[in-house]
Amino acid sequence: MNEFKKRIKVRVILGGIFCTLLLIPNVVLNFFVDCSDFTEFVMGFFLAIEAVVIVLMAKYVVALRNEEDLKKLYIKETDERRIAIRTQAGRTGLYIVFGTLIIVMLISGYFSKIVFFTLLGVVVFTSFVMLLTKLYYKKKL
Amino acid sequence: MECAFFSKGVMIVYKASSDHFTSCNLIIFYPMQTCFVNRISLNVTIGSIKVPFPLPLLDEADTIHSRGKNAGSKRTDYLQSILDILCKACYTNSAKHTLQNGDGFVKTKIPELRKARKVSQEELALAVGVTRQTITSIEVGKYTASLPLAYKIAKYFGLSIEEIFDFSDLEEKENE
Repeated sequence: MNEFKKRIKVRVILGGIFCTLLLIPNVVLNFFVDCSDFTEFVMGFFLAIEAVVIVLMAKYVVALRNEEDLKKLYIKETDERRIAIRTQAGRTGLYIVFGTLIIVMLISGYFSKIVFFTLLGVVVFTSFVMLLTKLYYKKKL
Repeated sequence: MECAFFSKGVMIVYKASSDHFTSCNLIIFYPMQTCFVNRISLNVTIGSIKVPFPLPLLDEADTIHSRGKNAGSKRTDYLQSILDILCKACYTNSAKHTLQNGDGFVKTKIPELRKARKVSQEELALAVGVTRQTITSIEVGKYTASLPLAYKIAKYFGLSIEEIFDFSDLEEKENE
């Protein structure tokens, strides 16, 4: 449990750093750049991400202060069924995305060269990442 | 599996009683001051494939760990890891077989045991370190528990894994 506590503390620290870093573009956009619809959209986007991170950090801080909450969080995060669901969902999702990408790429080839090569790049990169992770887990497990 | 007893270099007995689980013989370690393994006899059957005991590894461990002050603990870790691997392999294989066959799942006696001891799903879940939903899924047969979880549940009820998880369907299928 101590190990988990440390991990949560690290997450809180990283969340704090992330929030601070996200504030910088917001300040820059707000004070040094003329606000347009687009910059306002970007600012809103950053703020939404920051809000999510803050909610997560609050959850972690509460768990750190209460042993019972910490145990519940630990169980929630290490529950094998949840992990299995995540793994399965991730794998299925990846295959669906990958398949869709290939189909869209092939169709787009008839209409736009740029879209075709962009999607081709994404497919190649995804395949490369999939291959690397496969090799990594083959060695690890 | 009847027993996977482990104590500080004293003796290990690991015996499989069920065919689908393993069909290994008895492993007995008689620790002595200079020599730690007197006899090992193990042959695990996973499905129809016989897996021999990794003797080269054992020889290596013998050479490495029979010397030095920490020989006992290293030896202990080594033997424990072998048992873990074998047990995991057999269990995973049987679980996989069950899942692949589709129509069958690992039946459990958890609901009956819980009722008899007046333990709620929540309490059991908390004791074995999983969520209540996981216990529910295991009970209704939607999810097959991993070996460590099966072990924890068995330990919680003071029974062996096979007394809680019923693999009879699988055995019947294998016999057909």
